Amino acid sequence: MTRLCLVLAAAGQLSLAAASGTMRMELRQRGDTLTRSMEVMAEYLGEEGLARLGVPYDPAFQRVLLLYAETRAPGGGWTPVPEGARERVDGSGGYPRSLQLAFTGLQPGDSLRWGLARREWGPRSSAGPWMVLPPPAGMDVVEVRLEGPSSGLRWAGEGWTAEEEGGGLLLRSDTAARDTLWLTSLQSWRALGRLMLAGVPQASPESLPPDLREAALQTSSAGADPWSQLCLARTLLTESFQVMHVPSPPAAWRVRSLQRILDSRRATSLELAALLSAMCAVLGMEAEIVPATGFRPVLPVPAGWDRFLLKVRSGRRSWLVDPAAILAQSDHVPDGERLWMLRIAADTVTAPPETPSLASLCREEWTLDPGDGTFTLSLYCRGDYDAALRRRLAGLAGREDEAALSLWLWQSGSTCIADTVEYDESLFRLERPVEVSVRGRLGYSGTPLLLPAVDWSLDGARGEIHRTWRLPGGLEAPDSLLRSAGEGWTLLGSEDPLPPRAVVVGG
Amino acid sequence: MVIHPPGDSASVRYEEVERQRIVPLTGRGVSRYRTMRSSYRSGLDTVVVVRAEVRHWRPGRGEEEATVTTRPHQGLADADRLEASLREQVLSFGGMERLDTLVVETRRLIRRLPLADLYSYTFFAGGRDSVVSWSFSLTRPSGTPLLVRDLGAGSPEPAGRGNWETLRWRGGPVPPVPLLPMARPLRGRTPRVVVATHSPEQASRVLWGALRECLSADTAGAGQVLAEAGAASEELRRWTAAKVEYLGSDWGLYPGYSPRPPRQTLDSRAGVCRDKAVLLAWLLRAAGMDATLGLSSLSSQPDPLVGSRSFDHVVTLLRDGAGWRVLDPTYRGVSPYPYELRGRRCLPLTPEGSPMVAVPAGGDDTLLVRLSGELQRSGALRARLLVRADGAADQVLRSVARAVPPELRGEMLALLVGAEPDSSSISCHSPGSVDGPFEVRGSGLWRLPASVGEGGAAVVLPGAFDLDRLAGHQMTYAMVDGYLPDTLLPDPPVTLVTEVAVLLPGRPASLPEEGRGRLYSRECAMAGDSLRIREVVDLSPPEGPALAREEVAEAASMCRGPAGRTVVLQ
Repeated sequence: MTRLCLVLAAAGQLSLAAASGTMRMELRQRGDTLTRSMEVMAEYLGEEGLARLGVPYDPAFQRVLLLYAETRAPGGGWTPVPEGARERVDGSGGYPRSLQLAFTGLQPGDSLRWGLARREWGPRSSAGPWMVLPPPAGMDVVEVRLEGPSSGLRWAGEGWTAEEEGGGLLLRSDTAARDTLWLTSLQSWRALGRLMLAGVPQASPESLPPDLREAALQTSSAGADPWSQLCLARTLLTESFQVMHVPSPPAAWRVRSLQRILDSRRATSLELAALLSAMCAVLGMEAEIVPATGFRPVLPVPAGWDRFLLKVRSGRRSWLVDPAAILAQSDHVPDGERLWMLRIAADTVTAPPETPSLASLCREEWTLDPGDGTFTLSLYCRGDYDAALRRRLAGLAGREDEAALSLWLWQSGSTCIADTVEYDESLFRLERPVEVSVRGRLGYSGTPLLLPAVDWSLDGARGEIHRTWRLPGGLEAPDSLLRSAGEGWTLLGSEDPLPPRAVVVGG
Repeated sequence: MVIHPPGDSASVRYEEVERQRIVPLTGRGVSRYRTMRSSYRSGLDTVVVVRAEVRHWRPGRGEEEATVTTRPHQGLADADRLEASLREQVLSFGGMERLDTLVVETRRLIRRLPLADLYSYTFFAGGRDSVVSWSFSLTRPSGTPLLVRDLGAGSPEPAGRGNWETLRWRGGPVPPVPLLPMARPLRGRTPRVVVATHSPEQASRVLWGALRECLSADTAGAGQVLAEAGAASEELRRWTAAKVEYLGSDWGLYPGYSPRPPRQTLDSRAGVCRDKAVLLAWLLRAAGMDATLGLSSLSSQPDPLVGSRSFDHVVTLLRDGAGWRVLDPTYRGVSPYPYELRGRRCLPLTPEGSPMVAVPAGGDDTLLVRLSGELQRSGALRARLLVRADGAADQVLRSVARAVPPELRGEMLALLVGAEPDSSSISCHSPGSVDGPFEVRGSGLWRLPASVGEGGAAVVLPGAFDLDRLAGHQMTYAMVDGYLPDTLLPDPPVTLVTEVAVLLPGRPASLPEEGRGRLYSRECAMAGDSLRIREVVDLSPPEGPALAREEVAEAASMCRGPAGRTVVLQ
């Protein structure tokens, strides 16, 4: 289930091995309540598994009503889904509740149909009708009707057509090549930004909770420069707070008072941004909350904006930080290269600027002695690599570090058993890049020798890698030497660059 | 714990009081205890929070009460259990820090037990964290029958007051029991006391009485299934596993416990273990066999004394001479039951009452990976692939395949065997089909570590754990000194057999070394222009589930070293 689909849970999540059918939706706005009704009829083409429908929701802002759910064998009549196969249980993806429905006993060629209504109220529904509808799998025809005048509405999506119908708007798609449908009543990015941040308290430095003021001032006690102060403030927050994942935007936009957030020691991404912003104010820095999303937003729609970064300025310098990025270096915005950011003042959405100083970099230096079967590995990591390493190893105790690192290398294709793992400082200190030294044993001795390497792709880390292998006889074998002959050794990499798989044999 | 005299259905029959004082000493402790959960079944029992507060060590912060919420139990939707009657009470301690003190007192009020009034309770004197001191007391009306089994907790001190008797155990400190991969389960390593009101034989008889109506003598409708599936026991088990979808619901008198009549399950083609076990037993009886139900647990070994709440799984038992054959109709695999049940205690339900029996341990868990193709000096190997899985290996591969959408399975399988996904064509049969062992077939490209020089070339051929990337991870831990205990339980057990046959691009100057260890063997030979390597890693010994850590480490080292896989070409 993708994140975007979760945001758009109005459509429900249907797990069908395959289906062919039609989907009709209707949007109705009454005051600050937006109701989406939906009807689906499909032929079940699957071979395995039940067809299941799950509609996650947050009862604080949403209601989901199942209107009907029926199945039909070829030539037979419609039969309601048994009572026991529909239930409201815990939600998935962080939603508190989910309406779950199972179509039991389906055979290929059977038909199924259901109807449901989902009502939402709260800040994002007060802005008028909106929706993002990813192309539903297996639906031949999809129709979306909007009740009432369509003036002020904007929509976008390849493979969709629009026509006025009965005083409303009908959007229709009957091609499998349809794109995501975007629909909004919001007229600008600025309006969307203000809607999202409406709950953030505008506190002056003097009115801040004393604890927060004290914590902010601590960061400047040693005469640190503004960047160091910002790093320390962010570290304090990530060390002290549990980040709460709240997928549903109405709840995710809710910000409690700063004192209540402090007392609870838990905070959403937006609340952490509000806290760090307040600390910046104490330190005399100007901070702007920047909503961000991993999906390219086509129109200003109040869904999918689940990251809240902070643009901090001090004098002529500025930095972008992610207050909710736990176990990541202070200046690293995870997945930053894929984030679209909403700049309220500029009324625009931008991709983050390329900033070379924030680039992900890894230096991996191996010293290998196949004679006695030992190795040492030293790692220097920034950005993605830094975050990957911290997440693998932070908080481990006893022999867990060595076990986790050995497992990582095994997964990378090497049998290198760590005997000792040493860090230059605690992995919970986020100001500096991680540096780690490992000593251990190869799982064998003598040659041939497989050059080991950490497979960073296992953890999704990308960026620049510099690997060096030091072998007996003083021979160094960085990537560029892999194809040359050395004293007593022949080195050659395979075509696969990450990780390099090279074998070394005696000369 | 208090056992009340039998009364009307509204009174509290059993009362379990839990008082804890917890001081998290580490950040992990804070994470663990920040949220505490107790599950219960609405209609059967309730959990009352008497006190739940955090006492802060930091001056000025004082005390705070926990937030208490009740909700449907987590994970129901993901497990296809639409049983909102299974609920949980969640205590959330806001603002907790290391060295704060949590004070928690809860009372579980049991008004009735599911299926029958068979009470049992297991008190654990230790756990994952260190315990400074512990005590467990049980109060009951004098003369109430009670069976006690001490499993390392010591003897109780008796006391009396009026018509009540109390037994009290106490002790401590208890060091933490580490949770380690391949180690014996925590439950088996923790001192505990088990108490029960009935013996297993009595429980068997009483529960049979509660469930026998489900196995109706009226077998109308069964004939059609017998005609479709066949009348052999394993055919009927596989039919029930494949044709009746796993779906739980709050059906019956005791939601979460009451099986439905077999014909209802047949009509809806859906049910959970209890429904499917009843259906299979009913079908076997219709086919003239002596079948009943058996209660066991997939999550942990049931204790030697049991009650109505001691089990989380129902299977079908087929009379086999003086014993029973276990058939699990929820298991979509070729073996009669999943490997997690091996060695577990199981309570057969019979009119005369039966003792617990052990589900047979051991099995054929072979995972065969066969690769045959043509090697290039560059290290490219284009080869045909066959994977055949039995037993636990079959179970694991099916579950992995089932978790991936059909259109992505080829790519996932290629990654699993170390092939290039973009240059391979690999497929498997449907993981839901139980017609035979799970098989993967196809052809693919393997890019192997290679070294080419003026005098020749060296290529490292894929070894057992390159061709099965699911296995072996935990073997790494066995090689880390001082991490795992001396005896290990492989999970899952597997005997990995790889057969690699490659046509060489030139004459070999040297072949891979042969090797033999206690759990590992490797044979290499030339057959014409082809090099054949056969490896066997046996992590599923027939004599028992435990392996010596040293043997596992030796096997890991032998099969991962490149000497045994490198062919040097002239």
